[in-house]
Amino acid sequence: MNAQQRLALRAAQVLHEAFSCRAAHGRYLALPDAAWASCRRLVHLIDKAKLRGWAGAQQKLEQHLIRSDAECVDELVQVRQRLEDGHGASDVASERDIFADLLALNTEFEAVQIDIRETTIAVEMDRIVLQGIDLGPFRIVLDWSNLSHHWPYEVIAQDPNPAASSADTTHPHVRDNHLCEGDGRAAIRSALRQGRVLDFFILVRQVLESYSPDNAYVKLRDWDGRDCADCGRTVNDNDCVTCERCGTEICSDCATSCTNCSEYFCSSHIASCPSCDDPYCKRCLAACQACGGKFCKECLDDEKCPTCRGRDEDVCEYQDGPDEGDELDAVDATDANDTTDSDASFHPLRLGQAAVLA
Amino acid sequence: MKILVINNDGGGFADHVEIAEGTTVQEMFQQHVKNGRPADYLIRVNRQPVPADQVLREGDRISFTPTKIEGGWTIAAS
Repeated sequence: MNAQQRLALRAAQVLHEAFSCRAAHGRYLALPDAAWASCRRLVHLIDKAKLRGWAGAQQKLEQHLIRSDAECVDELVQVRQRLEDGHGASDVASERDIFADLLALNTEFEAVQIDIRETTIAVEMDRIVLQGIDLGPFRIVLDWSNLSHHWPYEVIAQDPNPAASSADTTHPHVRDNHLCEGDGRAAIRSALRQGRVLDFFILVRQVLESYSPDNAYVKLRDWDGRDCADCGRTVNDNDCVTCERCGTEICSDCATSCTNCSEYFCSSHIASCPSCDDPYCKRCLAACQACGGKFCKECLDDEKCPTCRGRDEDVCEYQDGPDEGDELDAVDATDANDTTDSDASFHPLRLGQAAVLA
Repeated sequence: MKILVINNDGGGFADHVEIAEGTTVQEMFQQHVKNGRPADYLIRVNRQPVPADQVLREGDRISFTPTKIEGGWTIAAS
């Protein structure tokens, strides 16, 4: 027996103990309490995001909800399977079977590492290329001290080529190093429950080598695209604009060009001038000195908006008469005449009072 | 004679079954994978690839694993 076989034998003994221990002492029927709590929280957050019109946030939360919802269903399916089949220590593969599995891993994978101290078995896969997109090689790491956890293993990209819209998505079905097992879920869980180590790694590999566009975190056709921060749609690079103010990426439908500087901005950093209604970025709007409202420079005169200017003119006319004071030099004669015999010549506050008193 | 059959399609069936002497790998595949083509499966006997006409022996372990398994949040019917 060589060193590799001796290591595999020792690992087989430890693994058999771990799988048997889990089968014997793990909770026989575990309801999906944590996943359900997560679903409830996410539904609450989605409602909030929807109410506030945060389309991007809503879309991301819905993705998380799909995941939590699937975890609930999966755990309930496992409960049903246990009730129907019953499971005990006798279902667990023997030390001899696990030993044979560990040796066979070397014929199925590029490299295999067994680390008894770290309680892990890791296998290296070749590069994965799906629909012409090279996602790089992947490493599958099973931690047998975590067998009772929902995610006892990780799928780690070794030379990651993540989706442009999500740095955590290294494969259409892998996010945060967790594989969305999809159609492989029941078989993977069954292999893990029974200690069929070889089947477990092969099943995970086959899921990684397959692609299901309808259930992908990010579709391969959008792999190099970006998520619009405003509407949440994934768009390709050519249809993507960066907000000049905050740097978020938005699609050309959501980007608005400032009338003054012509730069593009997201919905959070563009506003309309209340006077002319044209879109301006916040830098190109200035405050009216009188009312504090933000207006474009075209609509401000002497740093005052048209409404406040009109009021000033009325006040001045009331207090000083049309022929006195420098300010009145600028007043249009027609406007002055229009307001001479009107209550509108009062200060707005007084005007309001006058209206109420009347 | 008894062999261990592992069908990793769907719910992941694994059980000891009684088979007739002289049963081949292909016959086992047809019995256990009703609507599949052998080309779409990794077929292993005692963890090794084998020809379709290989005759199974007492105590063998045969496994069928689909080559394409769709990931994502769909739950396989078990």
